[in-house]
Amino acid sequence: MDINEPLIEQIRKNDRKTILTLYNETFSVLMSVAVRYNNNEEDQMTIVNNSFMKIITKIDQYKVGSSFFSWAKRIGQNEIIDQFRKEKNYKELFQFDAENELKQESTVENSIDEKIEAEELERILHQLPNATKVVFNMYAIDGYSTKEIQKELNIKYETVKWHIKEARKKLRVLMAPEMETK
Amino acid sequence: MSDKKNHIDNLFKEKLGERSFEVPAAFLADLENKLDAPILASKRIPGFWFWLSSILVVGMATTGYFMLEETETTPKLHSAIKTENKITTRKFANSEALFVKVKNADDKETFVAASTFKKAAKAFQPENQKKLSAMKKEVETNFKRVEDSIKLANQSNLMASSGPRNSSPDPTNSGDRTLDNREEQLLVYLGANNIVRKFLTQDPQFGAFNGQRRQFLTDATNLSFVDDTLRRIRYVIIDSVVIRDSLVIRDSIIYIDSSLQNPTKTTKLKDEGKKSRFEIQAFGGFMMVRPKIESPFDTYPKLLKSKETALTTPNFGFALNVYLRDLCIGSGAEYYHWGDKSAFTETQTSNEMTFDINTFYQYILDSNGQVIDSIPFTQIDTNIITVASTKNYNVTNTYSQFSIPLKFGYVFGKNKWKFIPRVGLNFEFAMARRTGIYVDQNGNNPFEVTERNFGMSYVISTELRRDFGNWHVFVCPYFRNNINFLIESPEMNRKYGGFGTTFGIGVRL
Repeated sequence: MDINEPLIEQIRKNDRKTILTLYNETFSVLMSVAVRYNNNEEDQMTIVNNSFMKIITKIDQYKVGSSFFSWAKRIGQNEIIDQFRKEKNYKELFQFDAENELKQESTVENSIDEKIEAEELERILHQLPNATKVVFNMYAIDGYSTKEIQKELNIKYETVKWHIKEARKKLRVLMAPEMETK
Repeated sequence: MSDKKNHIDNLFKEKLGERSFEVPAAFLADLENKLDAPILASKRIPGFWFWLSSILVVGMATTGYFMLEETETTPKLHSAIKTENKITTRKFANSEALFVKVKNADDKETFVAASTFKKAAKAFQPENQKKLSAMKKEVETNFKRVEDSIKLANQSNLMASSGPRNSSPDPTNSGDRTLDNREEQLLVYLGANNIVRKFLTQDPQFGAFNGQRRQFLTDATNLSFVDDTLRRIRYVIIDSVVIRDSLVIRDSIIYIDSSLQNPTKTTKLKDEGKKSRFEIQAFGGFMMVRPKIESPFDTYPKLLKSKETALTTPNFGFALNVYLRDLCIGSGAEYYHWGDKSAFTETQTSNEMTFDINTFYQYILDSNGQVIDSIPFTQIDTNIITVASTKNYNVTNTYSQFSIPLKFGYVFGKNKWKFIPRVGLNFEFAMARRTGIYVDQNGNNPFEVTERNFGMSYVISTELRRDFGNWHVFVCPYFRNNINFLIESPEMNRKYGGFGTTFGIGVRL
């Protein structure tokens, strides 16, 4: 679907058919983001539809010629981060006992099976603590740098690093049974 | 170890990064609901601050009203003065005169007459009013004179009644008047302060008004005479005063513009000579807005400033002002925009692979050196080149504000031209467009920020106005500046400030 000026004009005019077509086109991009951060379907729906509403209300800000789906994805990511920030005491979620954690060393050295299904990875990802999951999602999948995550979530750099490390460690542990069954 | 880390990251990125989903019916239904009410969904109901500001405006208006009422009814001039606002009007052919209803010695209600002077009227125009202290002093002095006058009159009356009468009393001569109707006498005497003294001293200027001769206005005065007088003068001044049981009761001064051209236009003056008053103004104008950027990254604000230019935005609103003598308190509502105009270039790099294909031949020669066969070899060289493409963007980020101001000012100037410097606070509520786009510290990767819901700004203004009766027009240059940050994000914080001018029209209520 080519996002050009006539199409934007149709969206401005609130043309329902055009909007729904755009929704179908954009859905996978937004849903891909939503399912990684939330495993509750209702929350996923809120994120996807709120993001899409922002897309159509701010369509004037989209620069024709640039990648529409990257722009839409960015809006979806911002929506998730905003939702996350709205959680009461969200910063407390990031707190960790640094001394105890530093003593722990990962002893799991599993080899990773690349044939593991996406749905299974998604299920494993959601077993991470919420804060760790958010940081890992942002870093590993959405391509944020550690400094960007630090700024977006307004947490310490060391905290970001710890959550990334913790996510990898826990994911290996969680993936171990999957490896054995295969 | 590092490979393992990257491996697990890459695995998740590859498997979960981009996936394909079917749209569930529930999602579509929810979207339809959102689309059916997009405006309602986007409109935020302001909370605490909105109601606080609203209460502030209503409270201020109510306070001003009661202050006005209190000023009019509080007896301030003299301990023996009471105020009775028993005022009624009696209409004449083409004009309107005011009469004050009082009780006479028999405790019957009656209308007492008005003093009518052209020059007196001029003295009582608002801009010619004396200061409160001077007015007080003068009125108190007059009261004392009244009391003396009553005593003297009573004595002379006694003497006259005890002595022989040489002639019948002349109702047009104050010296011959009896004091049976004290209310009227005092009314005439005190009615316009020093002006009335002219009346009693047979000022010839007054004689010019009644044409032939000086004449008191009494209950018995022919209304046609009053009417005729009103036709020829522009102003009527009335000061209702009664004496009852040696207590002086003074009502407020009434000032009327009774010209034929504008017969019903009235202005009520208080004892102080000036009173609290309300006015309402409607205005519109423009503001040139500039951002003030702070960032934890030293070079980032400089980078943004180099890409941004000032934005001129429109504004409009209305103001409700209360004047307490020369002090002015104002509020109302205003709609304006903060914002900036940003021009930036986005550079996108991509790696492209190119192939150089070369074909070589190996020749097989016989013993004579003749080519008997050739074997082709294809060699493919792979080159990766980085391609950078740039795109230029011009973005206008605007942040609309609904604002409730609270302003304080002081009025300079007593004539038609006035100068009112003001300082004030604006309580700002974010309206429809609430997001902006800016580039990152590297001048790339545009990202979106959202403005805050509520904020405050201060404003310094100077209003220059020209009065036309109750109406006025004005021009008001001002400077407005955010107190707190309009946008707060990890990358940067933004405030806005701007110079502007409004033009407007107002009316005194």
